[in-house]
Amino acid sequence: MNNSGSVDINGEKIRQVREERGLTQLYLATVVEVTTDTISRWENRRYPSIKLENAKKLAEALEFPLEELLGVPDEGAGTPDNHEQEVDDQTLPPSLWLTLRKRWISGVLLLCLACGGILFFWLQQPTLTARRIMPAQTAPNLSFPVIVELIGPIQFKKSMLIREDIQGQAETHSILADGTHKSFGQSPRWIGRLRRGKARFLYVVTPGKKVSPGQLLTFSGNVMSSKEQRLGDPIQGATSIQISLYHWADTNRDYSISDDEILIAYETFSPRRGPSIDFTALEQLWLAGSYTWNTGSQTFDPVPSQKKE
Amino acid sequence: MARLMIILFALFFFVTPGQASPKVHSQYVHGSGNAVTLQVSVPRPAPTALIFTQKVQGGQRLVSARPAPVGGKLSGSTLKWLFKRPRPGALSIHMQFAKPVRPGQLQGFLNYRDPATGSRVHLQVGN
Repeated sequence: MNNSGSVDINGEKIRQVREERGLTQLYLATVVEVTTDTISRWENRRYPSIKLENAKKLAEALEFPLEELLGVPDEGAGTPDNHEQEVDDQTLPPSLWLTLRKRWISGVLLLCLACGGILFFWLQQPTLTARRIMPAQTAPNLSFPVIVELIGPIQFKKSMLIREDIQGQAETHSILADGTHKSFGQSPRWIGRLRRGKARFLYVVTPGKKVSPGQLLTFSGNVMSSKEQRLGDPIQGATSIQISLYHWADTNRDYSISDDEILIAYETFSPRRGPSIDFTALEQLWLAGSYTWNTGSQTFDPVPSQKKE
Repeated sequence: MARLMIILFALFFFVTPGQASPKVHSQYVHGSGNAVTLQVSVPRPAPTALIFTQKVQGGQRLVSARPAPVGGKLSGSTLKWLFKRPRPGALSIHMQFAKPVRPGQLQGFLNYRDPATGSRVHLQVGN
């Protein structure tokens, strides 16, 4: 018996006695109150170290003197291979505790790594942002441009459905590559993809002639991508435009289109590629320097005499 | 270590985002007689639109211009050209005046918005 209350038993002897008596490992396991795996391990090890209490039960089950079941290890046989500790024991030797602790730490580290990997993968999932850009005001019957700008990861290759809905008296159309128009009523729709992580969808809104200054046209829309992506992300940005008697490009509302204002109009609403809006009427107002609202024709007329530099 | 942190801080805040695009360069090239050519170098990325404003003062008069200014009229003390979607590279306006033009006599301006920052750029044409 060693200092920790355990004894070394002779595995071969136990197997021999059990088989002579025609007992099964299950029977021994039941009597000793251990598992069959434990009995098998005891028998397969030359001198396993087990609790004294279990050794006594084992001897009783085998109806064999305990002393004869005990093994005497050879010199130098005290290696871990020859002296495996009993796993079912409540008291584990420090070396086993160390091993278990190392395994536990390894497990936690692996779990952390797995969680980190999942988090990294989740963060790498393409996220799409959509923003609506449009002027702050427009006039009755004065067409104005609206851009839906989409930004996402460069690797985002999936098709997207962009849907816009306009509340108020207005009609919309987009400009096709050949310069012709495609009418959408009040619900423009597109299917498109990002190119290098970006996409811009340009359309034109024409308020009705009967809309009154002060009224609002309100916009709502969303972007849908595939099922793996977030569904129906709302389009952020401007949500309404006010009807007024100022041109949409006249940002400071002084009845004059300055160089800076026409440049902003081009920079904001003229795509670098593809079809663009006809800014001829706007250029005439800019060149004239000033403009006025023509109630009869419901258009803006250039006023050269009030030209501003 | 502190020096490295300062460099990283500077890189983070001043170099990477919001860096202005290279500026448009322009100059007048005086040819024979009354001809003057405005040469403009448009960088990459190019601005979406570029406005050139030519002041015609001191009894001077523009006889012809290729391309013609916006609206096609050559009269007036202020003439404007609007270049939409200019391509990166060289761009020029050939102007013929009624009288000989001395170097430094012409005054012209370029207006555009920086494609990277969106800020307004107003440049006087170098003679």
